[in-house]
Amino acid sequence: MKRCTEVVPLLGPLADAALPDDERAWVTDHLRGCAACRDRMALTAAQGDALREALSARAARANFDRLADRVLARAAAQPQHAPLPVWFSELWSAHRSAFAAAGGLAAAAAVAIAIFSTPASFRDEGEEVDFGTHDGAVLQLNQETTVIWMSEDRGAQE
Amino acid sequence: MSEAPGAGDDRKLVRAAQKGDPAAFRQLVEKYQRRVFQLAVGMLKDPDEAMDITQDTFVRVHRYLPSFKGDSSFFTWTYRIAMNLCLDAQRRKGRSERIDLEQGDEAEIEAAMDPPSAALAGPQRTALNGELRGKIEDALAELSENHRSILLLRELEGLSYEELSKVLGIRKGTVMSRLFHARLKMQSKLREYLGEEAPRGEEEGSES
Repeated sequence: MKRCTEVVPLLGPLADAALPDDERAWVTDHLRGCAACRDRMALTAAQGDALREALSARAARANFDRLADRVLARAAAQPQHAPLPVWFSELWSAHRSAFAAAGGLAAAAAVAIAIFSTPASFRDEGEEVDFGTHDGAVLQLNQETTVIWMSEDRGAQE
Repeated sequence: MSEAPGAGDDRKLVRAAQKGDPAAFRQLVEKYQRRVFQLAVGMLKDPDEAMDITQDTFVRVHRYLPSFKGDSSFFTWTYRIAMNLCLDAQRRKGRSERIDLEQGDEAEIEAAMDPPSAALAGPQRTALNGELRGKIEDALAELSENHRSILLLRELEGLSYEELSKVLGIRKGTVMSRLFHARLKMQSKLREYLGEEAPRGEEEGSES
């Protein structure tokens, strides 16, 4: 059975139905035998419920009368063909190949610089983590490192 | 990405609104105004300011609707505009705290290893919610904007990790990590407000 330190970072994704099947299976197995983690899981849900209830109560008191009218009136007063906002993700979508090529070259250059500028005595100390095909997160927990992998292959999403 | 309920209706309404049909645009506003307001009031706390942001959001939506190509769902696109306006408003007021605690601090992580007390979780959860409700907005307001925004979009709107990634412009791995730390921070703030000490007593892995 896995330890609580390994399970805790995965309780949120479990509650959010965002865990891949294999991880969900062992986290669920751990929960069956661990009352503390079941309580942690319940707390995650309780926080979410409370947040929704609190803000929903705020929205229930708000007055949306004629909001659409006000929006349309303001929109009508604005000049047409305003400049479009461009966010990075849209640039990425449009120029994905160019970004990927430039990123690859930059990464290769950075790795080469790191290798040649690092003293030999340090080269063997790091632990390599390959994020090349998946999105992932590394969480440092005390003396341990827990790596959380996302299930989908990055290439398959595109 | 999973489609929001009514996404097909949205597409029809968006197409009509793009052709200049004000009734279609009005329907989109009325469908999402409450949810945009909830997001804004969660981010900014002040309901008047949140109402202004809600209105500004839909003015922007109207302005840029001709360029909306439907690559993401209408509601994801709208929330992205709303979130950007909230963040701009916070920065203008000097309330910005862009502390990006993806790594978290040791105390925060260790607190997560403590078993939650019965007052915060467990069978008393239903009774707990009433007390939490009164404190939750204060706790929310104390989070960094990164943590507040991801918590709101996930807990309030139920955005998937893919949608969060798009709305916030971060990778899915960062979504997971940021959400983890945001929930821990919230838990820690709530414990403070409820006057609880994080209990100690269970060794890590004692259930193993």
